[in-house]
Amino acid sequence: MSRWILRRLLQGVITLAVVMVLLFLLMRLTPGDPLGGIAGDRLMSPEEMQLLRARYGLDQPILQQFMTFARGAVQGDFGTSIHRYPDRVGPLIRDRLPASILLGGTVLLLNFTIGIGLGVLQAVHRGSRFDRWLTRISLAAWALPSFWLGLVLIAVFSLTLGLFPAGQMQDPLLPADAGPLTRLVDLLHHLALPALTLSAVSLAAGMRFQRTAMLEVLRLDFVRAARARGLPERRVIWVHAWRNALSPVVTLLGLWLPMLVAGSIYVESIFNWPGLGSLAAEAISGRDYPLLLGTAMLTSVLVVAGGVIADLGYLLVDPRVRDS
Amino acid sequence: MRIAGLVLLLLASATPAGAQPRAPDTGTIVIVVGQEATTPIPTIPATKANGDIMSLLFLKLARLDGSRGTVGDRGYTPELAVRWSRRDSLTIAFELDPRARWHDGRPVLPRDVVHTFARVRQPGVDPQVRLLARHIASVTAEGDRGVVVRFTLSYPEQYYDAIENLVPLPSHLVDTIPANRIASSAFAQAPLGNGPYRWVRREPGRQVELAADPNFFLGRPKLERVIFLLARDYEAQINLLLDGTADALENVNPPARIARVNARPSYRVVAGPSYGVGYLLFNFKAYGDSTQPHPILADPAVRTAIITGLDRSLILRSTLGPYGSIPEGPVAQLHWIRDPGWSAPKADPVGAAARLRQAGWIDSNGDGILDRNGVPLILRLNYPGTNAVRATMAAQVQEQLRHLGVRIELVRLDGPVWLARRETGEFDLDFSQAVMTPSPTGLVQSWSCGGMSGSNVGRYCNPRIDSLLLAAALGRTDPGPLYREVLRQIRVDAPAVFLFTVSNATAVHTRFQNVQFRPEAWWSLLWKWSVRPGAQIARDRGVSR
Repeated sequence: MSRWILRRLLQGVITLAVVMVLLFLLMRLTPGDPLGGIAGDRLMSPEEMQLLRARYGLDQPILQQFMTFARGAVQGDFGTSIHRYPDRVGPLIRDRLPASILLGGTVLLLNFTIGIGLGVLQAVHRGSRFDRWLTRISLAAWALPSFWLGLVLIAVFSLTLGLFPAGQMQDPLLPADAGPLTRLVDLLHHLALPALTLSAVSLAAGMRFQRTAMLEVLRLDFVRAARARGLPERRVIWVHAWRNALSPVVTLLGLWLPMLVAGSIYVESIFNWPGLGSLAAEAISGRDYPLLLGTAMLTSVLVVAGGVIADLGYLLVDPRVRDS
Repeated sequence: MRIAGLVLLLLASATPAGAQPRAPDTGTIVIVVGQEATTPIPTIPATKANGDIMSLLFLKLARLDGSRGTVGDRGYTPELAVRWSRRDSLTIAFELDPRARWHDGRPVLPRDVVHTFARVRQPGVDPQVRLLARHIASVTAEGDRGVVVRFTLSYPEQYYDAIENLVPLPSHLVDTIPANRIASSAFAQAPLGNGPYRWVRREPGRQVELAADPNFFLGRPKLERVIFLLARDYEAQINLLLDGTADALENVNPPARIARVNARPSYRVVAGPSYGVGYLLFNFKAYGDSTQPHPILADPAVRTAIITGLDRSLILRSTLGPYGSIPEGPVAQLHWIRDPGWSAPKADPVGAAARLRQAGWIDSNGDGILDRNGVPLILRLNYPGTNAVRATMAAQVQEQLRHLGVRIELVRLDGPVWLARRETGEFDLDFSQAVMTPSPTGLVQSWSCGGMSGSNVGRYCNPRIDSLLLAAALGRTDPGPLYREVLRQIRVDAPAVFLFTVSNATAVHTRFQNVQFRPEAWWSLLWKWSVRPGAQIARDRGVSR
């Protein structure tokens, strides 16, 4: 078991090393000068550009640039942001992480409670009106582009009804000494629309996956046997059947884990949510190499970690995997 | 019931306690901005975001009204300096206002100005900053209040250079910080200035907060709290305004967005002239090859035909509505060198077609595109796709020139790619936009032969322009006629289609009165704003939403 975990971790490290090289090369191959728009519409002299190139090491040979990047990346130091000079990339990401975890965590929580719960109920009541309507709604939600849904929710609930703020994670006028309850209510108020936007789409996926997995399990003999033994239906469903229908959802969990921090670039941008998604969007649009590499590496780490966690999840929920 | 009770309890506890009583015309303003200010201090090249906040934290010796000119001292109003005088052709003396104070209570002294100049001269400081003060020989203190600036030569913009480039830093706080380290110093993260507002805090990626300095020597600001809220997405910016999170938003152009603002009775749009100018730049050299002349655009007849064939008024009206005008050259609405008698010539597509025909461009194969010696008149127009105004205008240019037999291929580019292609000359036409400095000396960057190693990406070169610009910048005669001759010569040479100068349309909550803007530093007069008595809202009384 421990050898297996060690092997998976080693694979993860190798994957990350490859990703690091690819990310660096792809970024340098992408057309566009990261210093081009640094002064907005103000024209910069060649001397000024030269000084800036030296500041960010962009005047060094490409191999030298990569070595500097790799050395820093191993230590978690991605250098200084180009468009937010003198801010360091590390603290910038650290500052944005809580907002992303909050939004992504809320979405994951909703997916794995409401989404899975509704998926199981759909399977149990297969073919009922409840199942048919939820299928239609979930397919419609799955088809909606999240940025469009976000704009519609803002137009209706913020600009027309005035029920929720159109953006931000907190009221900019909230006093620095505001109490924790005030902060909590303000936070939930601002969280509602972006979380709903992201959940509406991904919740549908959770429902569909869980419904399908559950339907397959409900047909199996051991479920019939459990019922024949006279066990209560609730116990049959949630203890016997559901546990065996969890594997696909564990896969989803692994896939969704990066969302916990990367969030959605579009949704974070339109809600002005100060998370890593909007930070990455800003880095992409400005070709802010250090910031872009920092956010991309973090996402890569989470993708790899998601895979490892999903594998560990299989071990927990499925004894057959453990034995093999 | 228990849950409902708990929610009610939460909400009740979240309601702020009673607000403190305040004067009826004081308030708070939240301004949405698209760029983040990271180093709003003097001696660092100012981005728009840094410049806006810097203008509230740090005063200059005097305040420029660029429309009144940058030559001599007629365009200035006292700020840190209470008066000034010229001693000889190379020397100007300023007398500091004895009431001026840093936010820590210490007086603003001549040694602060002297220190700032010494800092600008240090190695490691940004070359742009050093360049701007290159004609200043020395800055010395004279007594308790006097500052004497000596120049290396006599030229028309001595006042401009001294006042714009010697923005004092508090020497008692920064004298131990090397010039090349100040941007990353603790001082830059919490600057202490002498302006109407003092620094409160910056939440990176979110907002910057300033508070009124109650002891500001020119008068206590009525807006006691100013928050610059960062939102990079255009849609998010306007949504934050319209849902009441913010009170003001700059640059609400184009008119479709202005209409959304005007539809809300709580907001109004205040427009003011700017230093922005937009133009279609012709590439005088071959696409991506600066050693060869452009096979089509090197011919002045083609360039002139394109200029005269375009109906710029129509493009302007349909894109910017009343918030723009056609410039006579690379000059914005506010530049004092503009010829007040100049008016944009009417579009002449018939004349343009004739001009092209005379130059040998005919549609020999009937495909609707003119050609000459087998070369079709096809040009690639690069523009940044994120800019709605330029994207709309580019499509109109394409359509209008199609009728002339000129095929324009629109190349919509990501911002950094667009900028990179400008630098490498990979364009036939480039949709440029520049925010110019109040001083016309900046023309040398983009329109002189000397500028070809830098910002003159179209590689337009007329030595006469260089001579005129040099004489205007450093000569002893009135530079006005020389600059106007530069503009006339540029119109003759046709290096670009000058399409628009734009008004800065700013959405502002209607509760504010005495709303004033300065094109040189848009928000710098916030300290003169106030709230109409009886119009205060919760935030003006110190209550969040």
